[in-house]
Amino acid sequence: MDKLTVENEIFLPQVVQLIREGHHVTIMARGNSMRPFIEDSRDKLVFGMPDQLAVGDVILAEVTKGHFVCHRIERLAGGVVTMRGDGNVVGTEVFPVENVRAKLVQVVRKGKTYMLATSRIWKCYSAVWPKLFPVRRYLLALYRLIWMGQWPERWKRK
Amino acid sequence: MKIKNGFELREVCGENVIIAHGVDNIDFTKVISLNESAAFLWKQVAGLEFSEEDLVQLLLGEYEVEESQAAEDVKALLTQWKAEGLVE
Repeated sequence: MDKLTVENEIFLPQVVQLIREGHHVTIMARGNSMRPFIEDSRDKLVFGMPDQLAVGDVILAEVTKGHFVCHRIERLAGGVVTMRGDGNVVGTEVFPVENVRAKLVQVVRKGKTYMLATSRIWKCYSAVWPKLFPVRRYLLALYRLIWMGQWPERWKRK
Repeated sequence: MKIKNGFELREVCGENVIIAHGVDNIDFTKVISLNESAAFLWKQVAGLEFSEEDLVQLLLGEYEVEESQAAEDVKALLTQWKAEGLVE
């Protein structure tokens, strides 16, 4: 099947509009910043209205105008959201809560659907993974090496 | 034949795409993109009962095309729509 690729800046506002109309919208995950659970171009993300936000929720936010990011809420206080990608070891995004556009409600991971509100695996992962932040760098390196088989070029045998 | 319920033609980012509605879910990982003439035909017959011949006549009325070419294009389009399960 042909793939239609559209710039985020053009596509995501339309996705957000459909969510505001009350739909759930499914899009393909892109990027590595939500590893290890969500993998680029393999997993599908289903978004809904961003009601009842809490620390640990994964959201789609318009961090600055036209710049959309889907990461996990790390802190939520005084109308300000701090979020960080599960797969990121440095860098957070900080913005007003009004910039939250959608909330992740389902993940289709390797073809299996996880309803985030009820999935025990997701809840367990969401509780544990952020706590492992001090050693995240090493866990992600292992993940890349072992699960993804992405050995650094210099380690490859001739 | 007619276009099945649950499909909607929308313009997204300048492309005519058919979106499948679940109850409330719009899945952009499975969209069918239509070119301009296919989108024209879709709009004309959405919600109506139509035949292959109707589509040929619609094409002939809108575009400067030989009837044989229009018939061939309509046949190819309907084969695709049927394969994708868009019409019944």
